[in-house]
Amino acid sequence: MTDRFNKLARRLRKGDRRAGEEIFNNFSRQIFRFFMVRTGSRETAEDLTQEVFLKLIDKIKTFNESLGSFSGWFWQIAKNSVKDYYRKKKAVALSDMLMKNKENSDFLEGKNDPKAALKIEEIKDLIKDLKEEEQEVFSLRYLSDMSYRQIAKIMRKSETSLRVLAHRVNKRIRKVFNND
Amino acid sequence: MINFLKRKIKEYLWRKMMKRYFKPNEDFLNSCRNAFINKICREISSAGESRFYLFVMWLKFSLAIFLGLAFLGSGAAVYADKANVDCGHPLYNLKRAVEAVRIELAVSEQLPVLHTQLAQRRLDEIKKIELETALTAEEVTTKIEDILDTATTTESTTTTTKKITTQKKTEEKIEEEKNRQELMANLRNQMRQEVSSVIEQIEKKQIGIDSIKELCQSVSQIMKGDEETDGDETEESHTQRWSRFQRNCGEFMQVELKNNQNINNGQR
Repeated sequence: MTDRFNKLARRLRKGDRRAGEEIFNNFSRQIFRFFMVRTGSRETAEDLTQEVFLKLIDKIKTFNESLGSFSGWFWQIAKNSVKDYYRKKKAVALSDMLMKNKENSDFLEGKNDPKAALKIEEIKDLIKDLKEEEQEVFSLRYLSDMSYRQIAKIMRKSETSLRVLAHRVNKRIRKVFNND
Repeated sequence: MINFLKRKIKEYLWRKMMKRYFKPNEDFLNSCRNAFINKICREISSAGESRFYLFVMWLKFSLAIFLGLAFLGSGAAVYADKANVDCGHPLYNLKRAVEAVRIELAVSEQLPVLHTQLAQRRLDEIKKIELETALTAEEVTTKIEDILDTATTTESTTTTTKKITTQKKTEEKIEEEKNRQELMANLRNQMRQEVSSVIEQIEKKQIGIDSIKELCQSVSQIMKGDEETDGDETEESHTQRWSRFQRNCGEFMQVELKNNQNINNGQR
């Protein structure tokens, strides 16, 4: 996987649009979810996702393969973007975030399910209470279905400690859903 | 077991639900993708194009410089050859290179004439060097004598330092003289080679009688000129060269040859 993205990065550096498209298709959803979890706002997540991909073009020349994989390097840019965002603006409280009608329809797929909406609210509250690293694990493991090995590279943590973190998050989420 | 399965199904469902909720909008993804690709085209690909443009510019510039240098070089070469620059001139080596090219390109009928011309050139160069450096050689001898005198008469440190400096200068002069001798020997050697080439051509008898007469006259003049300079040629090779010349040119210039030999014998 690492080699594949490193190759794509090399091609992107030379101005290959297809390589850029492939990188976008591979990372855009994961990165959006990550921002969504970290900021709690769809608009902010969209802005940050766009910003991080534009940043990638500016910084691609500084990417050094010998220092690590492309995905690790790119995720680091994403993480720094969130940090910058919080430095600049006050974090938007997740509880204040109102789900727009459109989002609701996306989530409920046209079905008016107040029960599910309530659960989402609960989950959002839960995410707000999670620690930064727990939020990252939640986004990467449960939303982006990444392996522990991949997450370990991105977060620069051991797989064991990630498993512990993921287990802790899982336990708390399960509690929300078992409250029925 | 049933509870476990229930829990797993529940977990699967909530994960699915969460994924759906955190799913990015397709319209946003498309617009973001377009912005991303446009930026690649604008900044990276255009940088590549500009690099190519720079490379083309560099190529053009190099070609212009190369053509300019070639033009200047050929001009200098023609000047060096036509003006027959002297030995020691910055363009002298260029002149020799042009001569070599001329020999390579000359047709066989023109070759003996060209060799004669070049032999004459070498002879002129030798004579010029002899004239220019005659004084210098005398100076060297005087300097050496001066040093010997100084060495015997004074013993003080200052004098010794002066002596060392003078000695160094003298050594330099001696070195110069050595180089001059080497150069002269080299020029003589080349001149004789040119003469030999001419005689060889005559031996082959591929040249018309009129041309042979002219060539023999030129060659005899050069050989006489060679004898006038301070040559270090051995008696044996000298005789050999003259006998070879006599064998090939004798019948064309018998009378003149006899006179010359008499003069030469008298000189030697």
